[in-house]
Amino acid sequence: MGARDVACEDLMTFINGCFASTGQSEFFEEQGAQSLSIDFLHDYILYNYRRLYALTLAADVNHFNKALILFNLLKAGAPHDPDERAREGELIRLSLQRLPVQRVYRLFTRLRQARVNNRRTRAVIKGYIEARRDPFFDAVKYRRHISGALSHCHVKLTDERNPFLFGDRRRHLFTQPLLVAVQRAYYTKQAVYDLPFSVAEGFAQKHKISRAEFLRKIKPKMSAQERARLTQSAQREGVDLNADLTKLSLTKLALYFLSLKLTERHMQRARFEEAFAASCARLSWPHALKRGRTAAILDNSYSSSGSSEKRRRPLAVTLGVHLLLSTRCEAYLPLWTTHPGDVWDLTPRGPTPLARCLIEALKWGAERVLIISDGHENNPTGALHEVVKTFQERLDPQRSVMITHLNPVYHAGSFEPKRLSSLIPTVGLRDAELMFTALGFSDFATGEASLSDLEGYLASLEPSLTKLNPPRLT
Amino acid sequence: MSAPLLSSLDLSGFKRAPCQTLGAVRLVPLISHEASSLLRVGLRKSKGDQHVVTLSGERLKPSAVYASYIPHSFIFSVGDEGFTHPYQTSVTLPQNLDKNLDKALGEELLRGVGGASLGVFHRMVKKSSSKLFRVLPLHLAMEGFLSLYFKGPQIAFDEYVSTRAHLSPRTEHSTSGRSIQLLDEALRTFELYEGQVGLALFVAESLTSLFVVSHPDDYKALHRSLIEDFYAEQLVYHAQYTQAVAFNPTINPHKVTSLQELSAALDGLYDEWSAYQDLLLEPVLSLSLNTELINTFGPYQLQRFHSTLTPQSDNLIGEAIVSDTGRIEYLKTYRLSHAQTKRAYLLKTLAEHEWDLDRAAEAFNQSKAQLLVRLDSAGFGYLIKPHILRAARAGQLTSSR
Repeated sequence: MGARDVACEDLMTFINGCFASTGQSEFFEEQGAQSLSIDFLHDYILYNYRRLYALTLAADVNHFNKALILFNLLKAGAPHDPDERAREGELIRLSLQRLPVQRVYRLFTRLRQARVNNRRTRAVIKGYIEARRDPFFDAVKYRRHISGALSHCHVKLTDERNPFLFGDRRRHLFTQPLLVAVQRAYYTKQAVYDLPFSVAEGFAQKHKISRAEFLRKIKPKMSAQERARLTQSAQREGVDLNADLTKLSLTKLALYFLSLKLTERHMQRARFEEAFAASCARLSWPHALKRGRTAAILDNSYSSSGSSEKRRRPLAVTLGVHLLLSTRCEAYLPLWTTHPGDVWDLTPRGPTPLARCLIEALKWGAERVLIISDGHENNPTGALHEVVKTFQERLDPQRSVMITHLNPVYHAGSFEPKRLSSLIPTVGLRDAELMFTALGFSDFATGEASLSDLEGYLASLEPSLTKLNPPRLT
Repeated sequence: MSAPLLSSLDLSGFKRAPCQTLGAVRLVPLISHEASSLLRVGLRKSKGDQHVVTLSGERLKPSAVYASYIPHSFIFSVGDEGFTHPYQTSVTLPQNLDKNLDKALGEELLRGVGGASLGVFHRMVKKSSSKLFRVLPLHLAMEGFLSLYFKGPQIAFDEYVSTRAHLSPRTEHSTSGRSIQLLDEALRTFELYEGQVGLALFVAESLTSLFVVSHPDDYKALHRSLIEDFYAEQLVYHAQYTQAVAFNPTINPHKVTSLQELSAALDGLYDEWSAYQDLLLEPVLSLSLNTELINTFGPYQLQRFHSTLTPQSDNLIGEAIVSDTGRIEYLKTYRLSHAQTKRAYLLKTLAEHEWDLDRAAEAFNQSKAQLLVRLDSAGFGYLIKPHILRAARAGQLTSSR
């Protein structure tokens, strides 16, 4: 095994880990083990393959890992090579723009707490805050993050944000309507409803406004996410937030759906059907997946209930993939490990008999089999590997049936999502809607592709960077 | 028609599914799809920090007591009217039964100085109505084990302190499930099967506990209560230094030419698993049991048992409820540690020879002095007059030189 093979395997392990891990507790492992493991993996890749580490930002790794990569890159300082520096800087700039804003501000705060204060970090923070479209809204909603970040990188703003963030907020004469609203909210109840929801919540407490009244009046100011998140608790207060479920992403919608009681799900069936259809329709769909017979082995065993931090996450991802496939594939066979009867009654329960499901899929004549599972097979342990081995050796030597394992759970012990068999590629998957990105990497996960292929693939994901110099191996 | 007493453990009525392992812990699910009977069981948390059970006499004026930490009791209900497990860890009974249950079950909480409290149970098994009774799980079996040969010597042999020097207090130590490494985690992450009514729990490949109830919902609610049970202390060390043996049966690819054959080969894997698990269970299922009838509730018989207490084999004690058709409706066992078996074996042999030390020593193929020292090191030295024990120790020292 050459150095480049090792590099390819290391990098694939890393990308895979970055798809699945979030540093939170999982069903089988606690938070400490998870974050220790992913932090180590990041350090290992950063110090051994710096260029490729940065390039991972181009792959659709999840937000948690994107923020961690940015943190580590900024902490490590800029590279000496001017080309490299420009390239990495561009990647950092693009990635920051694509991260959700609250994650970016949390990243800045983390940089401040870790006392990372090099020239590049200061420039990045300054550039980001200057480029924001609605700076006054940010200043109100993320006030503490922004004031911390600005004083950390010694930037003095010249507009009204400066007295708002650092001066006497209550007395200064503002002209910006939002800043004026904040000022008035200290004294009148009415002005509270002109503020963003999370800021208004604090003022509502101050004015002792009842929760029901507050929710009813703040409704127009809430984002779609906030409405969906608070629907249940608002219902208990007798307020209907009219959350528009069609705006939620597929996995978020599945999580919300699974959190409801069975009777509630059936009552809102039409609403959910419409929302699921809308969120599936938003996703583009590669043609290769449409054709042929696709079977999915869907793990709804008890372990898919996740942890208290990620409640039912693995099951929600599984449900999302199932809905995507069932709306788009020509011929599709879903095989649940414990058949729920009706998908609307789906709950995490029972053991994980993956081998039995695989044989059913093969008997049906599947050309592509997707396994969505946390990789803890127990009925019986190791049977899937035996079946795949025998099938590929005796019945399908040309490998005409593609079997791929998508794993929503990061396994801290092995630094990647837990594998089911050495013969089938395992790819991490945090959100069902990123299934195609994950499948795009599945060819590399078998360990047969070369490093240059992987580099090329990563670079192709970020077309704006192709005009810069191609990456080289460290 | 009444059920016969159990002479051995027969689990043929339960299907075994492939086990799940974690560290040294192996969990084998026991499944029954038969129409479940109407004997339901739920868990009732005990009040108090420490507990005593009045075995005879009035509740607060006992003539014999059993003292232990008893975190929960099982409530059995004949018929499942209004019987639910609202929070998985407790049981709700029909309204008319739930009123004054403490009194009906003979339970009382005594408060002491400094906030300490003592829960008092009246009897190991208590019937509160024709439909409801309470059992203290495993403690019933342990009490039976402790009371074996409890009377001590009946003939005034010279060596004994007195003929009235019975074995009181007879004590045994065991440990909580929480001190067994990964047992809590193994129980938490265990994936229950449809129709699962029981579990065979192995620690370091020896059968630690069998737990069976008659209804899958009851099993689901009581599954995590296994952590609160007590276990032999040696398992703590065994769990720390061993791993469950990995069992990897393989498919022979040369026998497979079609998908049907591949499917059959997978069935073969299941067969190998079940054979392997039968192999693990076999030493315990082949034990012959000494069983005692405790009580009868309609068609159900509550029995407790212990195995023959031979030091060469694994030994267990336990309790069971058997229906009139001979079906096991409830079963809970405790694996005795090696030291516990040896102590019981010593007492058993002495009792068989009417506590005559000469005859017993002959049966053990030992000298009398050796037997005396052995009695002392097993914790029964208090039965023997001190100067005789001293002489025996001195004598054994000189003979060993």
